[in-house]
Amino acid sequence: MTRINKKGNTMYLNILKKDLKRKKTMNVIVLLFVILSAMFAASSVNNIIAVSTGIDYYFEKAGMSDYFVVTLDSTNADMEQRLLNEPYVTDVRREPALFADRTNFKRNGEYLADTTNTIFIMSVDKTKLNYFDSANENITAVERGKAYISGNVPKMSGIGVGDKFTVKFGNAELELEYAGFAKDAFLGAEFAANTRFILNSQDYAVLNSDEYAELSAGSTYYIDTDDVPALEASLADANGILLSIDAGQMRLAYVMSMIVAALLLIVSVCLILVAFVVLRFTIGFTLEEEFREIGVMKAVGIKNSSIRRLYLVKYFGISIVGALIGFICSLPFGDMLLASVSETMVLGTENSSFTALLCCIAVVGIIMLFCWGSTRRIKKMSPIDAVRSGQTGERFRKKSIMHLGKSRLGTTFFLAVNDVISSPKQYGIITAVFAILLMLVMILANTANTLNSEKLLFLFGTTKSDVYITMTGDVMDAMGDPANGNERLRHSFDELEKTLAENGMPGKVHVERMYTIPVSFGCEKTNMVFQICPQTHASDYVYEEGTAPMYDNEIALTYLVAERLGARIGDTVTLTVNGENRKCIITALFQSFGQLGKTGRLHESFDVNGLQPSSAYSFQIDFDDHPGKDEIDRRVELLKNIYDTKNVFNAAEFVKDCTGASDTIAAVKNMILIVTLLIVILIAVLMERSFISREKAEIALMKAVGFNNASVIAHHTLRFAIVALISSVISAVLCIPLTKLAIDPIMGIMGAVNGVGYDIRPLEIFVIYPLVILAITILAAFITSLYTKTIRSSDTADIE
Amino acid sequence: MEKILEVNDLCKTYIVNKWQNNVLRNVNFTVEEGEMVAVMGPSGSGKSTLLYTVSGMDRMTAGTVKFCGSDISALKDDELAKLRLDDMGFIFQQMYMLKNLTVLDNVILPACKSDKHKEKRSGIAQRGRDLLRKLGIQDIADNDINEVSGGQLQRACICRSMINSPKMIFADEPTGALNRSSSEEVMEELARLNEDGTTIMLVTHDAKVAVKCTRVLFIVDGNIKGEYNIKKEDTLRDRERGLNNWLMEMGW
Repeated sequence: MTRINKKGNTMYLNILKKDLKRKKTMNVIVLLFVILSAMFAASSVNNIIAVSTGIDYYFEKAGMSDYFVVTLDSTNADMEQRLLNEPYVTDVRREPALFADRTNFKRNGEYLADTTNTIFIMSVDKTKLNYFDSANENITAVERGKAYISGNVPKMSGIGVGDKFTVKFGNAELELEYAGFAKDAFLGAEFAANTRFILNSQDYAVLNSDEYAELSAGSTYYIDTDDVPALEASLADANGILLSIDAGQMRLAYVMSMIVAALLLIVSVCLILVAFVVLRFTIGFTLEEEFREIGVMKAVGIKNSSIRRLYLVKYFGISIVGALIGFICSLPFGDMLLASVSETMVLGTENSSFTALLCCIAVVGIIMLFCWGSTRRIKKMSPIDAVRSGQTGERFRKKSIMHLGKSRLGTTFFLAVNDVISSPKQYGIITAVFAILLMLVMILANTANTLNSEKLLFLFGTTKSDVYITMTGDVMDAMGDPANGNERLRHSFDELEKTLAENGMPGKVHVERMYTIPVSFGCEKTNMVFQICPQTHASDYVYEEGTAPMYDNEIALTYLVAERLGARIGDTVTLTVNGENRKCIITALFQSFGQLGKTGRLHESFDVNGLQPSSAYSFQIDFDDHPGKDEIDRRVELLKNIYDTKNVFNAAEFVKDCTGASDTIAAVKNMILIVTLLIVILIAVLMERSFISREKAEIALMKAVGFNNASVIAHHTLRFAIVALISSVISAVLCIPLTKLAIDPIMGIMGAVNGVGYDIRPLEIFVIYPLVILAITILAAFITSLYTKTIRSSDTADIE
Repeated sequence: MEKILEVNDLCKTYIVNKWQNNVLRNVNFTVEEGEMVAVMGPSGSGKSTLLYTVSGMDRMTAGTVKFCGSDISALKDDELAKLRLDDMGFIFQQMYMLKNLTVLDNVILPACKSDKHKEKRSGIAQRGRDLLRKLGIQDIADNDINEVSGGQLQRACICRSMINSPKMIFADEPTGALNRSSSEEVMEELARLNEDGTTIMLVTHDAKVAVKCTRVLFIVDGNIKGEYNIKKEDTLRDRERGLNNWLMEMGW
């Protein structure tokens, strides 16, 4: 018995050895797809875990609290004590900072970066949050003369580690060296992107000792509380709060990173699906190739179970080798996918190797299941299959729909079309895979383009103007002067109008001002930011429901605020302005990205005298002579020179600047486009190679009856061209509804609860991407089909 | 009669794992228009290689092959393909056809590819149907290839080889995969084609097939050992007896 087993094992090994050698091409193709599946599965599952737990992990690691308040010390010196007196506050951590703007930082005589956001200068030993460097190490010390920088300044300035820059604060001046990027959980989100400079305590002391520091000193309070709504209500009447936000809302600031992460998640799921679908198909395909062997083995009396075991052993071996290589490749590939998200966040990837290993084991298991399913047919096969090479004569599909005799197509083109139609499953899978990949690119492109278009202008609560100019310094001055804030803003744009007139481009200037006003409705009370612009009409803005406020006692609220208060159109809410309660009727609901959807609009006649603006958008310019696009762009450049700033935008650029993520999404789109092209090339090459292997007899026959090499190559290339064309058409048809389906929920999180109109650029979406896919497919299929040259017409004699 | 095929000092050598295998060694023969020549010989003697080499499907190592006066060894691949398409027909032992096409489409495929006849698709299809009718298989024209018997399929292959009105048909054991009755039917068809003027060269193991031909070449170890002319005027029985006796002399 043992001898028989030994003989059997030797025979097995011999058959396997011969098989691996003789069917090298198909075995290599299966191996490559196993590698791809394992690589995609391992890296994608890791990404899914990292992304889905991303914010929780990051917030926990950074030591984020339940509530955050940012104040100017000059107006809120007693804030810490006030918070500690609140019964539901369990802990308060105060982080002092000096508030600066771009004018305080210079490199080689130029501003370090043209950021419009407030910049925080801090001492490393006074930080109350964990900040991380690029290697995700906690920043606990900074050398004297060095500084870590968070937010968007490093990217905007292009500063490299070791580069020098100067900080001037009042009369105090320091030369510092850039020590590296700091990941900041509280203000580092792309949607917020306030920059922090983390300095050595002695350097900080130098800046803090200047008398100018007194006016610019501020604090961030990290508050742990068991009752966020109560804390929010109690802070509603506090003046001089620059930012008051809970952790839940803070998470929304990461929405742009999450958009990228969610897109990666979709990409990852698609990659896994693509890999498994193609793998399943390839395994079925290779087993079909084995019919002859299976028939012969049956004819010589080998049992079904033994034959089945032979193939299971073979595929087990291939899948183990493939999974191992896939595991190794998944680690850098996963990092590449996550690079754009992990740039600003610390993602939990401690167990990534273990997860990747588990995924690869799962891939082996799934492959064995595929094989188990595919080898079930062995039972049904008879020795006659050896003679018929697997053709049983049974038909499961309809007869050929096309007829050469009736067709007007050229012979080669007819053969290609007929092949695609005759094997719907085979080509359908490739079409579906190409279409999924192309749609991914299209959805990403639509998202990036939309975040960079005027279509979203209404979501920032602004009217369309010719030019937007951001002057942080003027707004900061206004905010720092509670008594004359409004006057100072008025003065700023008077000056701007004067400059415009002096430079031959007269125009009107207005600015959207933000006022933090306590609002109550029934038992609900909250502190929220209202927008108002005395120079425009409330009816100039877009509302989703109701009618624009027409009197000073009418307001519009966003859906999110209305929901928070439990109020509807027609309800009367109370606004507390300068200690006076004013009743206002809600006349309209709208959606907004401003304040992450937590905002409202006041009628232009609403009296805000004595109220300190908490912020303002860009100054908006409407030229008197209504210039065209080219002239506007020219004037934008002129204003950049006049004000020595890059922060002058046309409408589309303004949206791009506000959303901040269109470049990141465009970068992700480009990465996915490259991944897509690589997969398309891989699929086209591997499938074409397996088709050649499978159709050797037909190719030889075609050559024997007089088809030349060019015709055979054209026949093979055209099949893939047809597939790419069909997938392009499917993608073009489905891309708009799928973009809405996938991206509307994300826009909803940002405040656009009713979705947005997408900026679909026909040339890019419907022409360029399909053409790129088509060209790459044709090129890959063409180059691979050149292999048909090696098949000679005389091979008809050698074909089994 | 004009010479349609003229073979001089034809050699074909395969090199496998550094071993040189001389399959054809200085083969010389001619085929005249209207002839039906059978090539016989033991397995491995080089019959099929001879057929594929003289028909331009495989490249020769040395020697010359003239088809209708032109040296095919001097032709490029595309020129050879055009020659096969327009002037040659092929029939194989395995009834190779494109599996995604119907029987009729397989038959008319070479004609659709060729510009020899410059006719419309409908005209080509009609010619294909006429050929199928001629061979008695018109009923399977619109069938898929796995819906018909081996004999029917081989006759369809004959139709395909005829569709471009070739000057010569090459057949590699055309009855090798058929049963006796199908085999006889196919040979009847080939004989009829030959009577209509088509030159045929076929490889066979079967003396009953060879006896339908006008001449038999006997090949051993890559050399033509002898040739035998079959007298058409003799009875079938006499022809068979004569051929068998000759084959025995050849060592068959």
